[in-house]
Amino acid sequence: MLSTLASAADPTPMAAPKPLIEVQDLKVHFFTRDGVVRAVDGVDYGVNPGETLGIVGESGSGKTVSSLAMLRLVPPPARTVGGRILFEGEDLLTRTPKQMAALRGRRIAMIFQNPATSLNPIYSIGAQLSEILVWHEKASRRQAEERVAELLNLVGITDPLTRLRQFPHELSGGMKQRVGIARALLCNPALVLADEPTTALDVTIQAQILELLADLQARFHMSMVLVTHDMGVVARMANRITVMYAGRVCETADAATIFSAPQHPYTRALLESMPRIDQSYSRGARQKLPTIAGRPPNLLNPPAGCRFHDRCPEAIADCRRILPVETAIAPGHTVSCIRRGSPGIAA
Amino acid sequence: MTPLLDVADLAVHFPVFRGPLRRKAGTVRAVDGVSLQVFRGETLALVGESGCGKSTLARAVLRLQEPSAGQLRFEGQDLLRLDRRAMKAARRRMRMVFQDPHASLNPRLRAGEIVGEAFDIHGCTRRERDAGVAELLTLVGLGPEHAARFPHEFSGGQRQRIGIARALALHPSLVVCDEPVSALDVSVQAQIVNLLMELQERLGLSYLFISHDLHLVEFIADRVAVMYLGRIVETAPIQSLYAAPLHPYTQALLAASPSIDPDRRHQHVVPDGEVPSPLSPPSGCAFHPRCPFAIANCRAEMPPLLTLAPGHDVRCWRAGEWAAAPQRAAIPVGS
Repeated sequence: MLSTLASAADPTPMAAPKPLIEVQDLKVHFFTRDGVVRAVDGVDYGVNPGETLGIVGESGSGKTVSSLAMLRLVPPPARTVGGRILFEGEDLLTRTPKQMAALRGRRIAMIFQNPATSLNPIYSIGAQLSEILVWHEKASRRQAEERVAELLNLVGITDPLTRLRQFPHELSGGMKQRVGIARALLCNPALVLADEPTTALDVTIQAQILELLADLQARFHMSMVLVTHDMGVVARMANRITVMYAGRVCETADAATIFSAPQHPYTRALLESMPRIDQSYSRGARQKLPTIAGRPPNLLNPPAGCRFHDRCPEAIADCRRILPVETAIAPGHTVSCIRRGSPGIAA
Repeated sequence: MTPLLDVADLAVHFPVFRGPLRRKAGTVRAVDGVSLQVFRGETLALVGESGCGKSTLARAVLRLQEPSAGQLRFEGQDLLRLDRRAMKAARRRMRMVFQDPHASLNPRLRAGEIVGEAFDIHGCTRRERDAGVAELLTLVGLGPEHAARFPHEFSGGQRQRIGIARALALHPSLVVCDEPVSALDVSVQAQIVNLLMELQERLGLSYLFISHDLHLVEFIADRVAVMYLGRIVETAPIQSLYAAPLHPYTQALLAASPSIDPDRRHQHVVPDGEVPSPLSPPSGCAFHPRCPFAIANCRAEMPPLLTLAPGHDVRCWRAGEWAAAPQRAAIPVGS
């Protein structure tokens, strides 16, 4: 179970708030022709009201699949096969499809990675955004368009009344992502899931979009889950960070701790393998980047014990046998590594 | 010292046709008067955002895209005067590593055939080819036994190793790397970056390294050229570029690139606006609509590339002021 904590930006620790959404022992498996791929295999994390949780990991770590599971949108051949997702006290996995449909886009909204493909090319911006309000809030077309225009303005789109009549192809990539953000915010959601929201954008545009997201989040006191492979993006945005590897959570802590005192060997190795500005690499005395040997395991047939053991510099014999279970090593800092004192389940 | 590759005033223009009669509606000046040099054994990084012309420039250097104007000298030869056969021979010495290792390897060829193709094209014997393939695969950290496998049997990182082996066949002196690691996962990126640097040291290669990742560039490059809308706006040795960037666009790029360093993490400096369309670039300095320091002259006239320190060239009317007072160049952009 994850305990909650005050972020680094908030030095006075308060009584632990109740998480808005809590993912417990989530399991999502892909039933493929070749066998069962355990893409998400016993994952826990929680998001507190008003905070941004960054979920980082490499491709195939299960970060996107676990966030799609929160909306019950995992695509076939994947199925959520275990766990609980408690949102405002209720388990989303027991909701009916109708109840989920009433929730999606209203209480929990999503911002997608690719703004070019997540908008419908054959409807105008105004039509596809106001549809959401007509559907969820039984708004009239006119009320809906007014609200859409208001939101477009809020996300920094100039001349929103003209934009309402435009189609996605008439907008630049950065503008499309602003529309995607406006769409997510239409119904004042309590939780926004942002899956690699800036990966498809250039760096200067990325900086603008990140700034906008941070600003809106603070203004509306939303909770946000930011899924990304980019440590720099979570460093800028997240209050807390969950690091995933091969379908499991390695470590969760507040952002400052992840960067200054990471505990899990994978988190450490990942951070070390990234070149940094300011680390003054001098020509001649140029060192190599530390690397992580090998590559992530095949989740059709994950290794026994800790999934990182064959690449881990600190692995001992027990790591091959014992699956570590996340445990708190400090308030708000959980690690799953038996060398850091985590209990484990023997194979 | 004469440069290995000397690009002077290179331009690549694409005509744009519109309407039912396909009338010429304009010209995209993808690369517009670019000059740069790559010296033996060095890495020149070319950075910029999408659409700035960096990939077009790379392709033009190999004449995979015919330049519209300018000069291109490589190992003392004037490349633009070479006929097809001579150009083909020159391409033995200048090779390319592509961005996407999934798309740049033919899925129907075995790794050995992919790496060995260059030997066949350039008329080597079967024996030379087989020996070469085995040597190259070993050089990039794979083994001769991998020659019989198909691309889909390899991971992304291994595929990029095959792409690198292919580029190194026939002993090139210049390798153009077009975003060679941006499609790879972080932990694999580091392995490929190390491999590229190790190969450079062992084989004395020169790299023209195209990237949008400024952290990576600082690690791998000796010099950097920053491009914006088809033109180079700043060229500098690594140390001076990162310590004292002089062009406001370079400053904005550095500020915008997300960092994990604690003291830079919470800098929220955001350049305004978006990259203008290359079909109708702004007047004067192309960066002026987004530049917080723009003055009247910036709108009127394109600034020349001025040399402000040895090896440090900047295309900015106010560069002299920044160079004279480096503390003012410390990015007061935005917020």
